[in-house]
Amino acid sequence: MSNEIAPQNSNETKPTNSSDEQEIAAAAVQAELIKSELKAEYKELAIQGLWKNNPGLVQLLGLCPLLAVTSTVTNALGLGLATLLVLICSNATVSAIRHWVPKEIRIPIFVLIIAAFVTCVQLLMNAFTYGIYQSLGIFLPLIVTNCAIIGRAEAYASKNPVKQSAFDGLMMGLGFAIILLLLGVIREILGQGTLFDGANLLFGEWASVLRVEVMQLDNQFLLAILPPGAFIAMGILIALKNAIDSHIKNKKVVDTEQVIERVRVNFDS
Amino acid sequence: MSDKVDATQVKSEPEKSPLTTAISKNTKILALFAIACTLAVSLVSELTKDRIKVQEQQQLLRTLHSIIDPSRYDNDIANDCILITAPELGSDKIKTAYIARKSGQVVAVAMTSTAPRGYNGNIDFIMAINLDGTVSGVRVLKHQETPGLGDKVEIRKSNWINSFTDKKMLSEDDSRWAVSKDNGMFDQFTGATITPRAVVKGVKSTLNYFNSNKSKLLAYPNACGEAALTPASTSTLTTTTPIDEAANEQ
Repeated sequence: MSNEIAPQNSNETKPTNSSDEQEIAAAAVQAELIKSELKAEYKELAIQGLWKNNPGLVQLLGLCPLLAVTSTVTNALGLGLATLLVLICSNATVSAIRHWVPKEIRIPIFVLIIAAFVTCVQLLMNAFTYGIYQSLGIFLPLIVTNCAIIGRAEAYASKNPVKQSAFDGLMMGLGFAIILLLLGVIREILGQGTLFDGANLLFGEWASVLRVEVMQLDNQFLLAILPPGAFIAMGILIALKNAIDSHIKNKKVVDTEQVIERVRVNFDS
Repeated sequence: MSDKVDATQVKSEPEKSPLTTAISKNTKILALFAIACTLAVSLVSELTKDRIKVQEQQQLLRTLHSIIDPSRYDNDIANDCILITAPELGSDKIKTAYIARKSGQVVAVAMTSTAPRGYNGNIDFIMAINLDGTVSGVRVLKHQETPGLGDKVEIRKSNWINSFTDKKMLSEDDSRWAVSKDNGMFDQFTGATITPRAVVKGVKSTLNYFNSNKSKLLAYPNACGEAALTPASTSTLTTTTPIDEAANEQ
């Protein structure tokens, strides 16, 4: 009897076990799907922010500070970090409150939030990195008017969850900061022949060792220091980006053409 | 009058259109956000206030140390100052002068001043003058001169500004106080004569002003520090501007 019961029991339990397993497996698959979707989303956000939709090179937003403060790497880095911080905070906040904000008044509320964050960043920089605060001058409060920030709040953060929005802010901010840095490097080397001149203003006294004398210039190359130099360098950077893009595109076209040829061969045969 | 009364009556009527309810709701939300943001900013401001003040004082002290050797005085120079307005100082703004004392005796005065008509507007500077009328040091605080040419008046670009140190006025209108192009004793820069000319002129005028008003200036009451905080808040307001300007010098 007991022998008979035992298999029955096992028979009874087996199907339930397998259904449980199936459910678990299904849930796991779903979770993995969501995970991979999230991963894809994050990846897409990173590509968009850093390359495809770079706020500096493609959207051409926030050009005023971009061109004005990039005369040295230190200034560029300072403004880049400040913008990055404001972007992450404003994106996260806008995303967190997106369910409570009626769409008619979303813009003034976004502006309020951004202005509040910029003021906070400005106060903090004034308190902790006084030198760089002085050399950034008016361009620090002008981050409020950087269209890249309100653009991301409106286009992405107001429709997406907090984590993704913060990540989007990070990537867009990084994209912007990288362009600032590149411009700063080009202009500082050409204009003064140095790198990281005045880094101690940003990081404290120890950073004065970072200063690198790239080349000795008898006279400063004025064009690179003045705003027109920034425009020209910016134009070259954009052209470079477009050239790389079209190069990649051409390569892809060649690949697909080869595939088509193979198909034709098959068809003929 | 009657119109106004009518308008208020219409407003207070109970039948509200969906538009007005939406407006009032949105107004409330907006007001809430405004309050929240203001609170956040004022909180950060409150937290950083002291630190910012310390930074500004340090910056000011660093500038003052560069033009008056710290071993020459023993008072709290950043909190020992007088306020001056004079056309000789280049603009009609209130200028601050910091007084260095050694055991109570005045050693030197560091005056903020302005050189008008630079290549690109005013050049703000601070200069320390010893009691005997010699220049102890000059630093440019704020300017908009052409980078690479006129900005050599900054100490971090060139040490031209040190050529004022230990110079003295022989007479009220000393002809040596000019750039060498005008037969003076100060060099100009290649490609930029207007900037050094303006600075020399500004320094000369400030020095003249100090020499002829010395006793009057030193009799002024202290306008900085704890003593000045009590009588009026305006005096502290005006002193913050030169401190900001002093901080620009780096």
